[in-house]
Amino acid sequence: MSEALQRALGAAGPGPTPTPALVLGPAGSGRSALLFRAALAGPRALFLAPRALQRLPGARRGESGPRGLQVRGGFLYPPSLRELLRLLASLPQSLPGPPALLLLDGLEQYLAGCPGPQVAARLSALLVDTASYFTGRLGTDRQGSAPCCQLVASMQVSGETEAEDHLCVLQRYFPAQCCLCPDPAAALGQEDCGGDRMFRARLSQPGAADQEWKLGFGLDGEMRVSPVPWGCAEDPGAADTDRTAGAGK
Amino acid sequence: HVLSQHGLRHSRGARPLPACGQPPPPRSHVPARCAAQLRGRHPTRLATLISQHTVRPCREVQLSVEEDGGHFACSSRGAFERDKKGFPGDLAWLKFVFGSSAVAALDLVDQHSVTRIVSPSGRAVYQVLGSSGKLYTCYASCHFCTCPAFAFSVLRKNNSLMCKHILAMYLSQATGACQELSVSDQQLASILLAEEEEEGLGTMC
Repeated sequence: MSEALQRALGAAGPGPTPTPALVLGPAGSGRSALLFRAALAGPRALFLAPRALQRLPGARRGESGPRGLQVRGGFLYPPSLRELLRLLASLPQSLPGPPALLLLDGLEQYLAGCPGPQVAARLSALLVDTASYFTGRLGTDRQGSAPCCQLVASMQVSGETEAEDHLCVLQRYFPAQCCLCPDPAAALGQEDCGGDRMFRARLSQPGAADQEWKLGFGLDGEMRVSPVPWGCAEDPGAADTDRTAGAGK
Repeated sequence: HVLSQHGLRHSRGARPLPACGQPPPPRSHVPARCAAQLRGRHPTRLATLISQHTVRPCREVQLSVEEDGGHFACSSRGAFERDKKGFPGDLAWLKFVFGSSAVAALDLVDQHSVTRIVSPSGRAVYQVLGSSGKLYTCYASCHFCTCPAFAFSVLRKNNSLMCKHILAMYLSQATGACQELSVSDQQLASILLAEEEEEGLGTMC
């Protein structure tokens, strides 16, 4: 799955075998925006979240719909953990075709108040199992290669939420992790960021060197992505720009 | 007696201590690379490794497997015959990696306790009839089992790779000892969610 994140962040090209990825970051670090970007940049995606976001990708304030339909898949909003589990268990019956990207936003909201590690493990395992089932349904493409349904989930981490107690369990099922944190250079005033909120995204995955990007969010929610110069990005080209919603989430 | 004085006891299935003055037995027949792979989090890799070692079930044969200069015997009920031209010491290998779970898992395989349940949509899940008579659900694509041992030893204590039910599932896949059962899509969804109420999701989340 991390391939979808790499594509969203502008590092195209073949990487290691896609593995489920977890996007971790504090409030306002752009977790939802990054997932939306992955949905827009890739193939048919299914986006799951506890509730609809206030704005869809590329929409201006007050707009809600049409541009969001560019996500070739759909949005589903199971409001509780129980509903999410039921949805995942019955997705094969309810979808017309298999998605190639399964996105879950707001994992911390589903796991809030759940005791013990087994609930987190069950949800993670069901997500992985569902993505694995979709992979089997995708078959082979025209080039003869077998596409994979990639899985990406996001969770807020702040050091205070209950769901973070389950992090070590989640990491069993999500070998790749993309950590978002405030950019230290911008925080110290060493860089002119033009009033944008700046974050660093560090992607760690088995069998590959870590990669790092800078994310900037303007007041209008616009998200800019650029590879960190000394990082391992394959294509340190011009910074990409995308107007995204939910950047403040 | 000495062990008792120090408050230590042999646990069931533990490797016996070497006699005083004798060198300890070699720790492993398993290459470090293999062990590292087994500790990874990709169950399909494990299934591949097991299947590559030509483990074959044999219900009738009494087996003795040499291990570390000593030997332990398998009863006929749980015996697995290794291919003499194949990987040596399959049972020792399993026991080294999985401890006492290996023999328990082989028992489950031998009793045909593993059932692969598949629905018309093609989605599959495994159910394992535990030694207590209770059914546990294991997912086909990743490590998850609804048994208490998985929650405690694997998830909470992190001192086991997997429970005996998951190991039995892999061994059944490798040996073709799985039973097959077809159900409707709705029934499969119910099996995937069977433990929901027991976990208290209805009240807690």
